[in-house]
Amino acid sequence: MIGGFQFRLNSNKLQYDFVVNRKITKIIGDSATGKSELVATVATKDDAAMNIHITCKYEAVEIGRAFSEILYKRLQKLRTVSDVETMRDNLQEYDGYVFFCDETFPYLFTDEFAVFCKYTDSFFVICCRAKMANLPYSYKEIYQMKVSGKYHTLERVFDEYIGFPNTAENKPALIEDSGSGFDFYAQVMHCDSAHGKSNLPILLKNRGSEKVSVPNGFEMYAEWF
Amino acid sequence: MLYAKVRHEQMYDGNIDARFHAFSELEWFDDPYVNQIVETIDKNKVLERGIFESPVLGIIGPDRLSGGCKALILAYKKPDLEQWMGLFGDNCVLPLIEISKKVDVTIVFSYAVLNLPDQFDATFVQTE
Repeated sequence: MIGGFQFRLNSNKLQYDFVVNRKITKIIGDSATGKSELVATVATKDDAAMNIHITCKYEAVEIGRAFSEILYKRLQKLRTVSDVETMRDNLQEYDGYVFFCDETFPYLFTDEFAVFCKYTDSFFVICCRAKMANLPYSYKEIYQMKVSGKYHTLERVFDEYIGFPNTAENKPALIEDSGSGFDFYAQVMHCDSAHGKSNLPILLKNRGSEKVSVPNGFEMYAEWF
Repeated sequence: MLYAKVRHEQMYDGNIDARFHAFSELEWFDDPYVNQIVETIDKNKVLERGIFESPVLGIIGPDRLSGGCKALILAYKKPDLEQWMGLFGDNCVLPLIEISKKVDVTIVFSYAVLNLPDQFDATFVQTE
């Protein structure tokens, strides 16, 4: 499935219009901007009385309609399976959708949901502020709602790649490990190794009131910045 | 005081709608501070006790308030219930800190929150 398609939703009270570019789109931002309303409206789209019109290349579905407790338990048993063909056989029926969910979806942070995302040929629009460590989304696909009355669209949160934080006055950054993560950062900044994250608190305490950069090992989440 | 707990996300951390429905009382909306939260966060106009006018949704009840608004009201009125920080948007951070000056609230952090003020009172109580 190729991204770059338009999603439009019109209801009596709300309008949404945005482009879905990649497999996972993340929507964050202030409360009361219509994120959960988007998911709730998609959930009731089949009720003709609600007068909801969706224009989208693929069928929009609220995730609870597809990812049930039964599927969760089935994926728990299949998690140890590394055979792509077996996983695809089990999840092929979920191909061809745009799934919408927010932080009320109880399985959002589970590995089973990550497996579901990986082995289905579908798109995911997720309204959640938390860092979703189980999902491989791009920093370019993190958006916030731009609201004008009933009209909602998305604006990108991170327009450009943000460089490494400057270490003031040549003070070294503190890296939690001493392996590949340390090697990575050492290429671009002056840094010391804590030799394990359990040593970070005491080392930070020893540095007193000076400002210290502590990049999170090799886990480069755009939102960390 | 704001008591901060740090742990990984759990399955029902985001279950604000059901929790608000289970615990909220109509009498809470007699409290001017609760109505102030509704007006500030959701930009709703308070018409009567528990009846609001939303600029987008029209006339609504408490169940249609935003997740952040519900979480703030629960933090204020039912502070013994832990709240997950992921429920609070950036526009809820300062009201949350104001609430923590009135009552002791426990907030669970599962990720680094970016828009906290430079200085405020909080106590870490437990980490994983």
